[in-house]
Amino acid sequence: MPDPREAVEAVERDVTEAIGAWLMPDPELDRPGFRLLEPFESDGEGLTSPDQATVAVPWAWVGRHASDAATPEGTHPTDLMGFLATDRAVELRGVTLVRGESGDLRFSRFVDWTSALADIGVGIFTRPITDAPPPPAPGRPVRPGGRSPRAGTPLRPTPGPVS
Amino acid sequence: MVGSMPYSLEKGPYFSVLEDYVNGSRQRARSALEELRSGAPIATIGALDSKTLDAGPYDTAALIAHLNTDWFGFQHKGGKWVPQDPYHPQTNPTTGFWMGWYGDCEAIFRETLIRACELSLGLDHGEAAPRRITQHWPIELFWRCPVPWFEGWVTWRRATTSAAGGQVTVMVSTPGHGHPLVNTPLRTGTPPPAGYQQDPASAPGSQGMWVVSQSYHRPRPAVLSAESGLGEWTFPTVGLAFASEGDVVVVAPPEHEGGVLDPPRKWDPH
Repeated sequence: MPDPREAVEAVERDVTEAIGAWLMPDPELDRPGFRLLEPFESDGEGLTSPDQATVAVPWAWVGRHASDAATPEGTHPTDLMGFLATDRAVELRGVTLVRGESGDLRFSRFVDWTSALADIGVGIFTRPITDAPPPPAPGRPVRPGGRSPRAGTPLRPTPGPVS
Repeated sequence: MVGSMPYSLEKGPYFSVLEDYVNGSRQRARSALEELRSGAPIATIGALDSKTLDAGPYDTAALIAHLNTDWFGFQHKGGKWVPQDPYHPQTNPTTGFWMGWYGDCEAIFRETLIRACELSLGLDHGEAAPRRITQHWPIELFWRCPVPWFEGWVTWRRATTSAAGGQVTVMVSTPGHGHPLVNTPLRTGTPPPAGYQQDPASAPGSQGMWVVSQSYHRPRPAVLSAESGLGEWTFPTVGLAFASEGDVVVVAPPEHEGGVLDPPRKWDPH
């Protein structure tokens, strides 16, 4: 079972290692880098499960989505999600569940990527996409083309009014 | 406009009829332009009043209500259509049924149609139409969805100096509206839906529309919360990713799903 303070330190290392090169802790930002979310920040421990097998660590990381000057293109070496540096301030929040023993800790990360992407100006615009059955296997005869039915063909009734 | 829109681009019955409304008569095109310029309600200029658009529960009144409510965000109060309320992040964050967008859809659509009609009739912006119209280029309309915000694209091309010697193409690009896309361009059924063709060998008619795609787009959701060691992160794709597979196919979508008929669906007032 993980020690609560050790779990927090491990999560800080885990986040810093993965995120620090992408979101650089710019000292000009408010509270850059890693911190626990309140109310856990004040006692420095996460939330331990009743069986003490899991420690939940709610955290935030504040950094700037800056370019890496070492690369000619000015992009991040990790090429995170393909987005070039925007130079915007980003707060990334998440909860990491820590299990296991000291020296062999395991991490399950639940991260609010949507808000962080919005911070760098990435919006998600889409429609739901149905997962239709895959088409038949190759080898099916090609259907010949031809004229469409007459334009007086009645419209097929739609499933229901748009709400 | 009303329907599922399973493809990401469509013309379908409604835009087909709108095309015929403005393309079928120079006088009608001029009249439509004058009404658009004067601020007349777009929904009642006349194109939606067509027997060829009556289907199931959708009559002209229902189509007018759909355009006003779902596209423009209008409200029906006291027997009149009134504009949408101002933007508010909690109580009024979107216009109509558009997802993630608030804006003046009606004004954008109106200006798009005005510009298209002016180009079709060979008029400068705001120029009065002469009594005798000497140019009347056909207008072609498409609807693309989704994009982040509502906008109209108007392109034109002159081929000859004859009265019909050019073309105006309009692309109405809209935010998402919640109706699902289908991740295959193929359709089954015997007989095939009206307008549908798969891998056509020729284009014998006066108009058509094809989508070229792979036959199936397999969703690939990423699992991010699987347990792993220190520093072993899995970074997400933005939204749902897809891996397309199967043959490259050429499909004429069914007309009721956004394709076109040949000959095209006509405007036929009640």
